[in-house]
Amino acid sequence: MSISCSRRVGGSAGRRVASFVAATILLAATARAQAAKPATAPEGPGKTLYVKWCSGCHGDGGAGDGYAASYMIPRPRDLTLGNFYIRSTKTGDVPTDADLRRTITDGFPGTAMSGWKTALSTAQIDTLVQYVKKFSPFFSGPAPTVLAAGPEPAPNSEGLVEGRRVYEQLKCFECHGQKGYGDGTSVPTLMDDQKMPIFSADLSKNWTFRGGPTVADIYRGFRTGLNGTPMPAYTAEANNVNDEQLWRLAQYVRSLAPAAPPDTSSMIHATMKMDGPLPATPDDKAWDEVPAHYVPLGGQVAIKPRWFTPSIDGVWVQAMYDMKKLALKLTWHDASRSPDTTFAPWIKKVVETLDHADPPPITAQGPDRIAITFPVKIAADSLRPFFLGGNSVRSAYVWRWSSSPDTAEEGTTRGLARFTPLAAKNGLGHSARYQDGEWQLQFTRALLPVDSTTAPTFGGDLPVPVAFFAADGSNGEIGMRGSMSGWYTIMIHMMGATQ
Amino acid sequence: MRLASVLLLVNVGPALAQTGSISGTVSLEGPAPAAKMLAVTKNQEVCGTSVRSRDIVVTGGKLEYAVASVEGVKGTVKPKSVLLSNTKCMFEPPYMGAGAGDTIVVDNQDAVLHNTHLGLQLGARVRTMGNWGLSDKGSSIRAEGPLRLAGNLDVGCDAHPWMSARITVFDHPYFGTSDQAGHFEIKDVPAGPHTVKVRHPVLGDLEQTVTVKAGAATAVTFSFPAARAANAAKTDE
Repeated sequence: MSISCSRRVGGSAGRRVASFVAATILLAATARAQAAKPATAPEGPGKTLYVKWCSGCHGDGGAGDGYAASYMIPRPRDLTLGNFYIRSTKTGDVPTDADLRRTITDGFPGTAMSGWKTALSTAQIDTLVQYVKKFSPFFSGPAPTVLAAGPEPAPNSEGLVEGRRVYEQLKCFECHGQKGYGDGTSVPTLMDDQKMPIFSADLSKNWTFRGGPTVADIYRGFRTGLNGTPMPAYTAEANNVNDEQLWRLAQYVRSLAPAAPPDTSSMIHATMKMDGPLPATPDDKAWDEVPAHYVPLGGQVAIKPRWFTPSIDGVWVQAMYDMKKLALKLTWHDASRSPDTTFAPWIKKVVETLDHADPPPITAQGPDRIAITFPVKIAADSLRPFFLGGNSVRSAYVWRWSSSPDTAEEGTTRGLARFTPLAAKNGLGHSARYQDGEWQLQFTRALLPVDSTTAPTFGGDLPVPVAFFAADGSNGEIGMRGSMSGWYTIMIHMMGATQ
Repeated sequence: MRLASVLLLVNVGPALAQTGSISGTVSLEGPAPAAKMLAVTKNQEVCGTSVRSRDIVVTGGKLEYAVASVEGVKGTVKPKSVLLSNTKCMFEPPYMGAGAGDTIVVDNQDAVLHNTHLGLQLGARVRTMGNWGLSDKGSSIRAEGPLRLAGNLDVGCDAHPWMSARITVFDHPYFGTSDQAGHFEIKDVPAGPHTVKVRHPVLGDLEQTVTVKAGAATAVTFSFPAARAANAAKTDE
C-alpha cells in the first residue's frame, strides 16, 4: 500500500481520540476513587508532584493500583517492584536514571502513560526520577548493568535481507507474526507478570513502540527485553548471532513500518479510476495506486457498555470512485479471525481482568466487525449525526460488516445498536480477506442512492462525512464494545461530471 | 605455628568439629497419582501433541524434586552454578533449591524457540528477574543476577504455557533437593536441634524437628499423605 505521511499520529484526530479516551478513563475512575485502598506516598522531594500527577494511575503507595488502574490492560507499573519495560540495562535489572527520565519525559505512545514534557519542567521530571526510586528496595540493590552496544552498520538492502533472516532465526514471528502484525501463534496465551493478557507489538506501527520508534530503540528493546512482559532479552552469545546481525534485525523491524508516521488529518482523498471498472476485491492491484489514510481508533467509551481496552488501534482507509460507484477499502490488523478457538485462553483472561466492565457480561467470542457511519443526507448546512451511528434525535446511515458469517448490510440507525436494514437497498457490495493478522475489507456502492431520503448521495460538491467503528470479537468486543474514530471526511472530486 | 592453629580453629575447625549431616527420604503415601497429560498447543512437530506433567514425580513411593531445608540457621552460601534445561518442551528439573548468589545456566535442548522467564514471588505480585530468548537447540545463557535474592522463583516459558518450574532460593547453604529415590542430603549442618522443612510446589510443606549430631549423619523421613495429592488433583479440576 502506498502511504502518504506528513504528520505524526496524534497530531490532530489521533490526539483528539486519545485525550477523549484518557479523560473518560479518569472520569469513570473517579466513581471508584472512594473504594481505592489508602496507601501512603513516601516523604521526600517529589511527593507533591507524584501525588498530583502520578498517583491516579500508579497509586499513592506506588503499587500500580491508582483509581484509574483497573481500566487499563496492561496495568500501570507497580513501582514497588522496580521492574520497568524500557531500560538500557540487562534483563531483570532496574533502569538507570536516564531510562526513567526518558520514560517520564516521552511517555509510552498508545497508552495512558503520556509524555510529561508538556506538563512538567526538566527539573520536576528529575525530581520525580529520584522519587520514583523510593518506592522499591530494588533500587538500593546492586547497580544495574548497562548493556554495551556496538555501532550500527550503515543500512542497505542486503542488510534488510540479513535482518529478515535473523527475524526467522530468532523466531520473532512466534509472537509478532510472519509480517510483524502482532499475530504470532503464541499470542492467545501471552500474559504479563501480573497474569494479565498482553498483545505482542505490531511491528508495522513503530509510532506505538513503548521504547521509541528508531532503529536504536528497537535494537535496545530486544537486547534488554521488556521486564514484566513476555518479551525476552536476546543475547548474541545465546543465539548464535553477532552484534551486527542484531543491528540488521533492528533495521529490518524498522523497515516494517512507514518511513514517517502516517498523516492523521481528517481528510481522506478519494482517487478517481480513469480506466476500467472499480476493483471487486480488496487485494486487487488497483488499490496499490490509491493513497492510504490512517485513522487512529480509541476505545468506545462514549456510551455503555464502554470499552477501555480495544485491540484495534487504527485502520487504513482508501477510497476510489468512478462515474457510478464509490469503493472504500479498510485495512487493519487483528491477531485473530474471530471467533477463533485458539483465543479461548485470551478471552478468558480478558474477562477475569476486567472484573468491573460495564454489563452485560462477556460470555463468548463474537465475530470481527466494522461499522461505517455517514449522515443520511450530505448538505452544506447539514448537522452531522452522533458519530456512533446517530441517536434518537438524528439518525444515521450505516454500513456494517461482520466476519462470521461474512455479511455486510446497509441500514438506518439510531445508534449503532439500533439498526434497521434499509428497505430501498442500494446494492452495497463487499469483499473481505484475512491473512497474516490483517483484514482487508472493500465496500462498494452506487454514488446515487435508490431513495435519497434514506441514504446519502456520494460525489456531490461536498465532502462525505464518515466515522469508523471496529471490533475484535476474540477480545470480548461484542455489541458496543470496540474502538471508534470521530468524524473524517472523504473528498470526492467529480470534475463537474455528474452535478 | 600458633597463629596458624588459631586460624584453623576460627575458620575451619569449629565447622568440621561441630557439624553433621542430614540424610533424608521423602515419600508420597498411597499409589502414585496418574500423571496429567498436558495439551501441546504449538510446535507439535518438536513437542508432540501432549507432554506428561512432572508436577508430582514418584517412583516406588519415593518423591523426586522436593526441596528440604534447615530453618532458621544462618550460613554463608558458597556460590555455585545451577542448571535449568528446556528439554522435550518441559523444564528439567521442575523444582530445585539454589543458594542466593548462585549462577544460573539455562540451556535449550529443543529445536524450537523457548524463552525462560524467571519471576520472583513478592507477596501476590511477581517480578521478572530475567527473561531470555533461547531461539534454538544449543542456545544457552549464564546469569548471575536472577538468583541473588532468597524466595520462590516461578519459571515459565511464554512460548509454551504448559511449561512451568520453580526454584526456591535460600540465603544459607542448608538445603537439598530429593533425587529419584526420594533422597536428599544436607551437609555441614551445625550440631543441635533443628526444624527441617520439605517443600513441594503441589503437595505443600512438611516439617519436623531433628537433632543433628556432630560428625554423624542424622536420618529423617518425610511422608506426604495421599490426600495431599488427591486434593491437588481436585483443585486442578
